[in-house]
Amino acid sequence: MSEEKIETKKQFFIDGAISPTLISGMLAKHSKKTGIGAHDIFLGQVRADIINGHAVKAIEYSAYTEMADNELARIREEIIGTFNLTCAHILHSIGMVNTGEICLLVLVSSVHRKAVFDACLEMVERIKKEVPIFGKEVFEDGTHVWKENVD
Amino acid sequence: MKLLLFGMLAEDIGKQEIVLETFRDVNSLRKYLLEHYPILRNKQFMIAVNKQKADKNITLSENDEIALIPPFAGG
Repeated sequence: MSEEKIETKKQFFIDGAISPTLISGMLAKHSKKTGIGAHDIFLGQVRADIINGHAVKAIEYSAYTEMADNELARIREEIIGTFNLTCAHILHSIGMVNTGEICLLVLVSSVHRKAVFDACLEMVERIKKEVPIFGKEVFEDGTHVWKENVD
Repeated sequence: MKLLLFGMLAEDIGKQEIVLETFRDVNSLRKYLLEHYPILRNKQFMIAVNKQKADKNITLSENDEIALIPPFAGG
Protein backbone atom coordinates (compact mmCIF):
# COMPACT_ATOMS: atom_id res chain seq x y z
CA MET A 1 0.00 0.00 0.00
CA SER A 2 1.42 3.39 -0.95
CA GLU A 3 2.07 6.09 1.61
CA GLU A 4 -0.14 8.53 -0.26
CA LYS A 5 -3.11 6.38 0.64
CA ILE A 6 -2.37 6.76 4.33
CA GLU A 7 -2.71 10.52 3.92
CA THR A 8 -6.31 10.05 2.83
CA LYS A 9 -8.28 10.37 6.03
CA LYS A 10 -10.72 7.62 5.23
CA GLN A 11 -8.13 4.97 4.38
CA PHE A 12 -8.30 3.01 7.62
CA PHE A 13 -7.45 -0.50 6.43
CA ILE A 14 -4.22 -2.02 5.21
CA ASP A 15 -3.53 -5.51 3.89
CA GLY A 16 -1.48 -7.51 6.36
CA ALA A 17 0.72 -6.25 9.19
CA ILE A 18 1.57 -2.60 9.86
CA SER A 19 5.34 -2.37 9.42
CA PRO A 20 7.68 -0.35 11.66
CA THR A 21 8.81 1.45 8.48
CA LEU A 22 5.27 2.59 7.77
CA ILE A 23 4.86 3.73 11.38
CA SER A 24 8.07 5.77 11.37
CA GLY A 25 7.07 7.29 8.02
CA MET A 26 3.72 8.40 9.45
CA LEU A 27 5.41 9.94 12.45
CA ALA A 28 7.99 11.74 10.29
CA LYS A 29 5.23 13.48 8.34
CA HIS A 30 4.28 15.39 11.48
CA SER A 31 7.55 17.29 11.72
CA LYS A 32 6.12 20.14 9.62
CA LYS A 33 3.12 20.54 11.94
CA THR A 34 5.04 22.62 14.44
CA GLY A 35 2.01 23.55 16.52
CA ILE A 36 2.03 20.01 17.84
CA GLY A 37 3.61 19.54 21.25
CA ALA A 38 2.65 15.94 21.98
CA HIS A 39 1.86 12.68 20.20
CA ASP A 40 0.53 9.52 21.73
CA ILE A 41 0.65 6.29 19.82
CA PHE A 42 -0.99 2.93 20.46
CA LEU A 43 0.20 -0.16 18.64
CA GLY A 44 -1.75 -3.39 18.94
CA GLN A 45 0.39 -6.51 18.50
CA VAL A 46 -0.86 -10.03 17.78
CA ARG A 47 -0.24 -12.13 20.89
CA ALA A 48 0.62 -15.83 20.89
CA ASP A 49 -2.23 -16.80 23.22
CA ILE A 50 -2.43 -20.42 24.28
CA ILE A 51 -6.02 -21.65 23.82
CA ASN A 52 -6.82 -25.22 24.91
CA GLY A 53 -3.13 -26.08 24.68
CA HIS A 54 -2.68 -24.65 21.18
CA ALA A 55 -0.55 -21.59 20.43
CA VAL A 56 -2.03 -18.89 18.20
CA LYS A 57 0.28 -18.25 15.24
CA ALA A 58 -1.70 -15.50 13.48
CA ILE A 59 -4.98 -13.58 13.43
CA GLU A 60 -6.85 -13.32 10.17
CA TYR A 61 -8.87 -10.10 10.22
CA SER A 62 -11.94 -9.32 8.15
CA ALA A 63 -14.47 -6.50 8.38
CA TYR A 64 -17.80 -5.21 7.21
CA THR A 65 -15.63 -2.64 5.48
CA GLU A 66 -18.19 -0.04 4.46
CA MET A 67 -19.79 0.07 7.89
CA ALA A 68 -16.39 -0.04 9.60
CA ASP A 69 -15.20 2.94 7.53
CA ASN A 70 -18.26 4.92 8.60
CA GLU A 71 -17.80 4.01 12.27
CA LEU A 72 -14.07 4.76 12.26
CA ALA A 73 -14.65 8.12 10.58
CA ARG A 74 -17.31 8.98 13.16
CA ILE A 75 -15.16 7.95 16.15
CA ARG A 76 -12.18 9.85 14.77
CA GLU A 77 -14.16 13.05 14.18
CA GLU A 78 -15.82 12.90 17.59
CA ILE A 79 -12.53 12.39 19.42
CA ILE A 80 -10.74 15.12 17.46
CA GLY A 81 -13.57 17.45 18.53
CA THR A 82 -13.77 16.34 22.16
CA PHE A 83 -10.04 16.61 22.83
CA ASN A 84 -9.26 19.42 20.40
CA LEU A 85 -6.63 17.34 18.59
CA THR A 86 -4.41 18.68 15.84
CA CYS A 87 -4.75 15.39 13.97
CA ALA A 88 -5.51 11.71 14.42
CA HIS A 89 -4.71 8.60 12.40
CA ILE A 90 -6.14 5.10 12.62
CA LEU A 91 -4.82 2.10 10.71
CA HIS A 92 -6.08 -1.47 11.09
CA SER A 93 -4.93 -4.64 9.38
CA ILE A 94 -7.10 -6.82 7.17
CA GLY A 95 -6.06 -10.38 6.33
CA MET A 96 -3.34 -12.39 8.04
CA VAL A 97 -1.16 -10.86 10.74
CA ASN A 98 1.39 -13.12 12.44
CA THR A 99 2.10 -13.12 16.16
CA GLY A 100 4.55 -10.37 17.05
CA GLU A 101 3.34 -8.16 14.22
CA ILE A 102 1.34 -4.93 14.53
CA CYS A 103 -2.37 -4.99 13.63
CA LEU A 104 -3.63 -1.62 14.93
CA LEU A 105 -2.15 1.84 15.02
CA VAL A 106 -3.71 4.88 16.66
CA LEU A 107 -1.69 8.09 16.47
CA VAL A 108 -3.09 11.25 18.02
CA SER A 109 -1.44 14.66 18.18
CA SER A 110 -2.18 17.86 20.03
CA VAL A 111 -0.65 20.94 21.57
CA HIS A 112 -0.22 19.40 25.04
CA ARG A 113 0.22 15.92 26.52
CA LYS A 114 -2.95 15.50 28.60
CA ALA A 115 -5.25 15.60 25.58
CA VAL A 116 -3.31 12.97 23.66
CA PHE A 117 -3.14 10.47 26.54
CA ASP A 118 -6.90 10.70 27.09
CA ALA A 119 -7.76 10.75 23.38
CA CYS A 120 -5.59 7.76 22.54
CA LEU A 121 -7.14 5.60 25.26
CA GLU A 122 -10.68 6.54 24.28
CA MET A 123 -9.98 5.99 20.59
CA VAL A 124 -8.60 2.46 21.15
CA GLU A 125 -11.45 1.50 23.49
CA ARG A 126 -14.07 2.71 21.04
CA ILE A 127 -12.43 0.99 18.05
CA LYS A 128 -12.59 -2.29 19.95
CA LYS A 129 -16.23 -1.81 21.01
CA GLU A 130 -17.90 -0.06 18.07
CA VAL A 131 -16.30 -1.17 14.81
CA PRO A 132 -17.36 -4.32 12.90
CA ILE A 133 -13.96 -5.98 12.58
CA PHE A 134 -13.71 -9.75 13.03
CA GLY A 135 -10.71 -11.92 13.85
CA LYS A 136 -9.92 -15.58 13.42
CA GLU A 137 -7.17 -16.85 15.72
CA VAL A 138 -5.30 -19.38 13.63
CA PHE A 139 -3.27 -22.16 15.27
CA GLU A 140 -0.12 -23.96 14.06
CA ASP A 141 -2.17 -26.97 12.92
CA GLY A 142 -4.43 -24.80 10.74
CA THR A 143 -7.49 -24.93 13.02
CA HIS A 144 -8.96 -21.70 14.36
CA VAL A 145 -11.28 -20.04 16.85
CA TRP A 146 -13.08 -16.70 16.49
CA LYS A 147 -11.76 -13.92 18.67
CA GLU A 148 -14.15 -11.78 20.69
CA ASN A 149 -13.23 -8.53 22.40
CA VAL A 150 -13.89 -8.28 26.11
CA ASP A 151 -13.94 -5.15 28.26
CA MET B 1 -33.71 -8.64 0.13
CA LYS B 2 -30.02 -9.29 0.49
CA LEU B 3 -28.55 -10.43 3.78
CA LEU B 4 -24.78 -10.16 4.29
CA LEU B 5 -23.01 -12.48 6.72
CA PHE B 6 -19.69 -11.88 8.41
CA GLY B 7 -17.05 -13.68 10.45
CA MET B 8 -18.15 -16.77 12.35
CA LEU B 9 -21.74 -16.38 11.11
CA ALA B 10 -20.63 -16.63 7.45
CA GLU B 11 -18.61 -19.69 8.41
CA ASP B 12 -21.47 -21.33 10.37
CA ILE B 13 -24.02 -20.81 7.62
CA GLY B 14 -21.51 -21.49 4.85
CA LYS B 15 -22.38 -18.36 2.86
CA GLN B 16 -21.41 -14.70 2.78
CA GLU B 17 -24.71 -13.61 1.33
CA ILE B 18 -28.27 -14.95 1.33
CA VAL B 19 -31.17 -13.65 -0.75
CA LEU B 20 -34.45 -13.64 1.17
CA GLU B 21 -38.00 -12.56 0.63
CA THR B 22 -38.57 -9.05 1.96
CA PHE B 23 -39.43 -8.96 5.65
CA ARG B 24 -41.64 -6.30 7.10
CA ASP B 25 -39.38 -5.44 10.03
CA VAL B 26 -36.30 -6.50 11.95
CA ASN B 27 -38.19 -8.66 14.45
CA SER B 28 -39.85 -10.76 11.77
CA LEU B 29 -36.52 -11.20 10.00
CA ARG B 30 -34.86 -12.26 13.25
CA LYS B 31 -37.66 -14.75 13.96
CA TYR B 32 -37.30 -16.28 10.48
CA LEU B 33 -33.53 -16.56 10.78
CA LEU B 34 -33.67 -18.32 14.15
CA GLU B 35 -36.25 -20.78 12.77
CA HIS B 36 -34.37 -21.55 9.57
CA TYR B 37 -30.80 -21.43 10.81
CA PRO B 38 -30.88 -23.17 14.21
CA ILE B 39 -27.11 -22.68 14.49
CA LEU B 40 -27.85 -18.99 15.16
CA ARG B 41 -29.86 -19.76 18.29
CA ASN B 42 -26.86 -19.95 20.58
CA LYS B 43 -24.91 -17.24 18.78
CA GLN B 44 -24.55 -13.63 19.72
CA PHE B 45 -25.22 -11.37 16.76
CA MET B 46 -26.61 -8.00 15.86
CA ILE B 47 -28.53 -6.93 12.78
CA ALA B 48 -27.44 -3.87 10.84
CA VAL B 49 -29.70 -2.11 8.35
CA ASN B 50 -27.99 0.04 5.74
CA LYS B 51 -24.75 -0.10 7.74
CA GLN B 52 -26.38 1.09 10.96
CA LYS B 53 -26.96 -1.01 14.04
CA ALA B 54 -30.69 -1.75 14.27
CA ASP B 55 -31.44 -1.29 17.97
CA LYS B 56 -35.16 -0.99 17.43
CA ASN B 57 -37.62 -2.99 15.41
CA ILE B 58 -37.36 -0.79 12.34
CA THR B 59 -39.40 -1.31 9.17
CA LEU B 60 -37.57 -2.91 6.26
CA SER B 61 -37.88 -2.49 2.53
CA GLU B 62 -36.74 -4.42 -0.52
CA ASN B 63 -33.56 -2.45 -1.20
CA ASP B 64 -32.23 -2.31 2.34
CA GLU B 65 -28.81 -3.78 2.93
CA ILE B 66 -29.14 -6.11 5.90
CA ALA B 67 -26.16 -7.62 7.69
CA LEU B 68 -25.74 -10.21 10.44
CA ILE B 69 -22.80 -9.15 12.53
CA PRO B 70 -20.97 -11.31 15.10
CA PRO B 71 -19.05 -9.93 18.11
CA PHE B 72 -16.27 -7.49 17.27
CA ALA B 73 -12.59 -8.39 17.50
CA GLY B 74 -10.77 -5.32 16.26
CA GLY B 75 -7.49 -4.17 17.76
